[in-house]
Formats: sequence, C-alpha cells, structure tokens
Amino acid sequence: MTSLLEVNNVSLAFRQRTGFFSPPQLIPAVKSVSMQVREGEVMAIVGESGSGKSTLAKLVLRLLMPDTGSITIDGRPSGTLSPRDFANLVQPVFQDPYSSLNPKRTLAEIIQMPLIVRGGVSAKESEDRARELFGRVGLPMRLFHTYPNQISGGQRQRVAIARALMLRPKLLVCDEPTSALDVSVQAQILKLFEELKQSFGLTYLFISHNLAVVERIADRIAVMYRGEIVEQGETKPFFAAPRHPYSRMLLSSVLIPIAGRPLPVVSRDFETLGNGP
Amino acid sequence: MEEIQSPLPASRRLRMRRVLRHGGFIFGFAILFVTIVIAIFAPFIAPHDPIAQNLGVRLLPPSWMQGGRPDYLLGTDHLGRDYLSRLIYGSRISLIVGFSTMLIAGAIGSALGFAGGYFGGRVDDIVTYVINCRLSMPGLLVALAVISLVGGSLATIVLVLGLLFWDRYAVVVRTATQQVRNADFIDAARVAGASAPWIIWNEIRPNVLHHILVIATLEMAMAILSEASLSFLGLGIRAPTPSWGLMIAEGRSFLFAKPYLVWVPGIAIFLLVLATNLLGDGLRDLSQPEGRR
Amino acid sequence: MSPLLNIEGLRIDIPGHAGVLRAIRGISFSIGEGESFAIVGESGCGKSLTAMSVLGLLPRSAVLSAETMSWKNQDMRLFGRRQWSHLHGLEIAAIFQEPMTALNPVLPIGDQMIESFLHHRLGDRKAALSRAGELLERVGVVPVGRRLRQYPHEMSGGLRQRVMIAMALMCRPKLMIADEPTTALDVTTQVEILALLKELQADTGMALMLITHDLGVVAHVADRMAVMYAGEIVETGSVASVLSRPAHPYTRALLSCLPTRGQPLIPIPGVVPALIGELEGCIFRNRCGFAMPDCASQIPEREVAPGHAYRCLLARDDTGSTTDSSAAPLEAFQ
Repeated sequence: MTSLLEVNNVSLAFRQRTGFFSPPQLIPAVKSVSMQVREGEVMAIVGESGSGKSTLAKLVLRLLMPDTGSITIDGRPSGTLSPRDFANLVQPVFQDPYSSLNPKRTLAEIIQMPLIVRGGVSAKESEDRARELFGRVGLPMRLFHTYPNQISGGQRQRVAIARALMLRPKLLVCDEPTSALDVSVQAQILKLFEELKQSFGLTYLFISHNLAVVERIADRIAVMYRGEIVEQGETKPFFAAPRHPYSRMLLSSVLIPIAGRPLPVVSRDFETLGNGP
Repeated sequence: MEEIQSPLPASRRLRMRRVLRHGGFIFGFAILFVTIVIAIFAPFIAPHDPIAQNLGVRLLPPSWMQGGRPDYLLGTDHLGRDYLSRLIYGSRISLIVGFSTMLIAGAIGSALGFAGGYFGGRVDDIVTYVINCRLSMPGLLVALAVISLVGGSLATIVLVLGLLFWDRYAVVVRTATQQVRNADFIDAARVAGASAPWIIWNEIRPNVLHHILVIATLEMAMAILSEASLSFLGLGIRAPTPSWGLMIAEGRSFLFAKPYLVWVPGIAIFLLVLATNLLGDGLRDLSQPEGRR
Repeated sequence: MSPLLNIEGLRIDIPGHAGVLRAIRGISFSIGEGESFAIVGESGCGKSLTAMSVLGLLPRSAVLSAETMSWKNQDMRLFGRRQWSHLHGLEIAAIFQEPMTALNPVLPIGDQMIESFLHHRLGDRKAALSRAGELLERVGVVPVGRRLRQYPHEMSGGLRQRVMIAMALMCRPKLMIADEPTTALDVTTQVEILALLKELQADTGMALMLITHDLGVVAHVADRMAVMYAGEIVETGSVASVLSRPAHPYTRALLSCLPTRGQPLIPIPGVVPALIGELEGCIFRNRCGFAMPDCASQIPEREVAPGHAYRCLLARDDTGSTTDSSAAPLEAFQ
C-alpha cells in the first residue's frame, strides 16, 4: 500500500515575541502528529478552532516548516523536493473564496499562475489548458476574462480548484473549502470534488470542522484536539462508534435537521480545559 | 457571501464617468498635462531665448501694465531676459526634479517597503530601523547641508532629494504589503513554487500600486516645492538656468518696485503644486471602491 | 391573544445602479409572546434585511412598505426616532453573528453592558452594574468582577457571544432577535450557546426570532419556522411539520443537499436570479426540477396542514425530491 503522504511525528510551536530583549513565548500548535494518506483516498482532518488542523495543512503545503519530525511526499522527504517538483505533486484549495484570488488579475491569469511560475509551456498551451479546466469545473466561458469581484463565492472556489489542477498534482490539500459557502453551493462544490477525484485520479487531504461533509466525502478520518490527533481510522467505523471522548463529544454536537430532539449535552470534563469556554 | 447574481458592477464606462465627475482630479490633471506639454515644446513656444540678456529692455513690466511691451508678454527681469520664456523653460526644471525625484525615491522606498512588509522578521526589523533613522532626520536641512558641500546643480538636487525623500513610500508600501501578504492567493503562489521577488512583483505590486501612485503625486509636489526653496536659498539651480525658485530669489531685491518679478513665478509654483496635490487626492478618492466616502 | 410582532405583505426595495433591487417581496409572519420563530435561508435571501427592518435599521436608501407592520398593535411604519429608540433594547434586543465587531473594542465589557440600561433610565449606575453582574453570572461568564472590567479581545468567541446575550437581556426585552448567533462558533460551543438561549427563553418568557441558514439549529431551537428564498417566504409552519413533511420544492431541495447520513447528495443547480425589475411568478422556477409554464404567473398558497403553508402550484406529493419514488429527477435540469 503506497503512501502518497506520510507525516511522521511532526511538531510545531509558534514563537510569539514578547519584546525585543526577552525570549519568545512558545505556543504549541501541532504536537507529535503522525498519519499516512494512501494514493487515491480522501483523508479528512476534523477539529474545532485551535485544534491545529489548519497548521497541519500549512505544514504539508510547506508554507510552514516543522520544528521536529518529517513529512514525506511520494516517497521523498518534503524538504528535499525542489519548488517545481513539489508544485507538481501538491496543490492547495483554501477556505476563503474572497482571499484566495488576486483581485487585480483576471480569472484566466489566476488559473494560469502555477504554470506561469513553473514555466516550460507556451502561452497558448497554457491558455488552452486553463480554458479546459475552466469548463471542467463548471464555469461558463464568458467569465474567462472577468475579474474575481464579478463572480460569486461558489464560482470563486471553482476558479481556485481549476488553478489547483493546472499542474496535474497528485495531492490536493483542501483547507475547509466549503465552509464559507451556502449549503446549496457547498453541495455543488462537493459533487465537483467527487467528480474531479475520479477523472484526475486525485488524493485529498480534506480539512473540515463539518462532520456531515466529512462523512460523505472521506475514506479515513483523523480527529485533532489541541494540536494532537486523538483518534483516526476508517470513516464508517468511526461514525458508527467513535472511541475517544472528544470524538464522541464532537459527534454528538452535530445538529441534525430532525425536529423534536433535545439539544445534546456537551460535557467537557474529559480533560480540564485551561483556557476557559 | 453574496450568492445572488448581482448585475455587472462598475464597468469601464461607469468608472470613466466617476473620474470625469471628480473636479479636483480633472483640474489637477489638466494643469499638469498643460505644464508637461509646455515643458516639452518649450523651444517652440518660448518667444525668446531665456538666457539671452538685453540690458536695453531690462525690468519691463508685463505687457498689460503701463510700460509693458507686447513682445515681452510677462515683462523682463533685471538682465533683460524675457520672463515668459524663462517661465516656460523653468517648467522643465520643476518637472524634471518632480518626476526624477519621484522615480528615485519611489524605487528606494518601495523596495524597502516590499522587503520589510513581505519578509517580516529580521528583515523587517532592519527596514524599520532604517526608516526610523531617516524619519528622525530633518530632510530639508540635510539636503541643504549636502548641497552646500557638493554645490548645487540639477543632478545634485535630484540625487539628494531622491535619496532623502523616500520615507513615505516605504511606510505606506510596507503596511500595504503586510496586508496583502496574508491573503491566500499569496500562499497559493508560494505553493506553486514562486520565488519571493516573483510574488512581490506579480501578486503584491498590482494590489499596492494605487497607494504608490497617490504617494508619488504628493511627493512630486513636495519635490517641486523643495527645489524651489533650495534654489531660492541659492543652494539649488545655478544661474543662468531658469528655475522658478531662482527667479523668485533674483526678483527679491526688486520686490517693492517690480513685484511681478516675484509673483509670476510664485503663481506658477503655486499652480503646479496645487495641481499635483489635487491629482494625488483625486487618485486616492477614485481608487476607493464607490460609496466608501 | 394578539401577537407581539405582526408583519403582513412586507416589501423592501433598494435602489441601485442597475435598477431597483426588489430585496423583499411581500412576506408575512408573526411572532407571539414567548414563541421561538426561525427564518431560514441562504445568504442573500433577505433574512438579515428582515431582521433589520424589525429593528428600524434599514439603509437610508431602502424603501419599505407593508400592509401591516405592528409591534404590540402599534404601527411600526409610523415610528419616528423616539419610538425606535424606546424599542431598542427595552422591547426588542438583538445579537449578531460576529461579537467581535458588535462589541466596542476600546471599552470594557461592563461599560458597554450598562449603556442601554442607563439610556432607558431603568436605574442608576450601581443598579445597572448589579444587573449586569447578575446576567453575566446567569450566562456563565465568571468571575463576574474580573469579566466586567475586561475588554472584548481578552475573551474567546464563545465567551463574547455569551456577553452579547447578557447585554441583550439587560432591559428585559420581550423579543430577542438572534442573527446567525452561532455561525462563527465551534460546533461544541454552538450547542452550549443554543442551550443557554433556550434556558433563558424559558426563564424570562421572551420571544426569540432566530435568523439562520442552519436547519439543524432550527430543528433544535425553534417552534415555528419560515423558509426564505430570494426575498420571499416559500414555506412556513411548525418546525416539526415543515421538517418532517417539507412541501415546497426549494425546502425539499435544501434538505436533500445537506450531506446527511445515508442520503444521496443532490445539489440545487443554477444560481439565484437577479432581483431587479418586474418579477412575476415563482422566483424559484429557474432552478426547480418541476417548473412548468404556469409557474410564471401568480402562485397560490397551499396548505399541508393547519398552520403549515407553502407557495406552489403543485401538491406536496408531486414536489418530492429524488429520494421519493414519485419524483422527477432534479438532475435533468443541468
């Protein structure tokens, strides 16, 4: 079983400067996290704010460097890959559709950016590929040369996805890609993710706080709490019987749209919470 | 989170209309444009040679006043040089100083701002320190000191002003870069393997450009005024080159008898600086999205 | 018993560059004492605008008209500044999605909490602080003394929202409007805040108008609900009835596109149409899998059960989603 992504005992603490002369304060974000993602599967990382899931995503994307531990992508240590090789393997889809597109560039330019950076393709080829992806993600061609401020949030996410596919990566790291979208738009985008995975043979590292979404789309799931993975496993068994108390608390907090049920009782006494509610 | 399909926002035509409605911008642009044209076509517009002396016609008042002559529209100075021609050629000095300083200071300040804003950490510490050093110096006084050591000339002024007045660019570009830096599209470029210079030039610069333009116009006004002040003090352009500041200095001795020697170039400086300032204000107003007054 | 708030035929137009935006087109609903009413819809449907109109906080350019718009039988359309000012905080209070922007970052919590109390002259500063402390205790923001002196940025999101709720209760309002109160919070915190709201409602007998996009939240908090789409209420009724027997195609489509267990995920194709100019017929028809030519004319109101109504030409059995055997597939509309 080939692991496309391997995270081995990775830790990262943020340094907060407390003054010019005093040593920085260490705030742990990710603590000894290990996991593997096999080629072709969808691995979901779930957690609430402060869990470290977004930090983990950034570590995998090489936007941050781990203090300890290693990350291996396609068999090679992530740190040794050249920028070009890395870009050919891993690409991101971010949460905020309003921050992930350069407002001063047209959609055509935005989508082609990774190919322009990597080089090696003619301008025409680059545009052709961009057009093809534009259509593939369900955007009407008349919008190809427009600016981001003229399209909706759901459409922006489609552009972000098209951009991520320009270099035909193997792994897509998606950090809450549908959290900022309406429910009906979210459904459209999730469907798109499913289709693209089939056509392009993609592997997803899917970060989310929405358990319902994760249940639908993920093969395996890892639950993060305060920087650590508290539970991981196959999706179906997890949802049927979560083992860790935090996982159970998380699962019971999901509100299903069926009337007549009482609000779940959230008990936080499995671990003393130092920093208040 | 607007999923409603809003009608196409400010199209080119709507934006043009907004621009044309902005009085200050139009006025500033017009005056600046006219001045540039005058400066470029000076040899064809000026009726006389600006440095040719003719003591027989010295100190003539402007043509509409008593004693004036139609062939010396704005009169002559104490050496009989046609004031209109000097004014026209003087515009070259002001504009050259304005634009050159703007370019040099803009390049230095923006480079520092981009570096500090993008890289943060130690680099930013250094950049901030440099900016603070510069801000704690009284710019014009330093310029005065330097020029009195090396001597005044167009090149010296441009260099000294350019190497000194970059601070506002640096501060504004640094802050603007910091804001753009946190956007996800910058991270997307990083993951795609783009180098820092590539990102700064292609992703950050377009989002910061309007700030730079506004500062540029305002700094240009400052540069023009500075040159006029320096030349007035005798530490700038040297005679016989016509500079508006120098013209005021030379006319100072005759202030009560022939006041036009002072207010003609004075008004010219005033108009040009006002125009550049209004242009800058207009640019700033117009670069805001509509409705955000 | 007459309702606290009674709205009938509310219309809101907002003039803009490209024409007049018909943001709200004839909605009606009422909220009785102690009732918990939810308006559900996606972004842009007008639910927040509706809340703003009840608070008299519409943008200046907005044009409002209604057949009836009354608070305790007083005509709100005739309200001037004095009446609105009297209403705010004392009769109707509001909490919003993002407490960080709703709270003043440069004032301590205590000072902000007592503002409304003092404005309505319900007592002196000492009485105000005492009530503030009482409420903070009630919502679980402790230790009270320390918290009253803290600034918003010193607290977590969940705490800030609790402070907002306490602040809203200072003058014992009859109605609390909560606009997406838990959207910005973690799911576990969300449950706690919702439980708190329900408890407070039971204690004080106040009514709750909940604005949200989350049907799960509605199911657990509200008694009655209205589904809004593009400026209209397409279905309304008790939460139990609407969620168990949804009738309007949009409601059913919305429920089908929630990624819940065991059900296929069916997105709603298309986008919300631009709400400019004359709009006739059903506003959902460009995305509806059951649209017919007649949908372009007047749509009648139909009943599923007493109190549960929806606007559609079709009977409930004919508007099923594809999980129903009788339904026509929505996919065909792609």
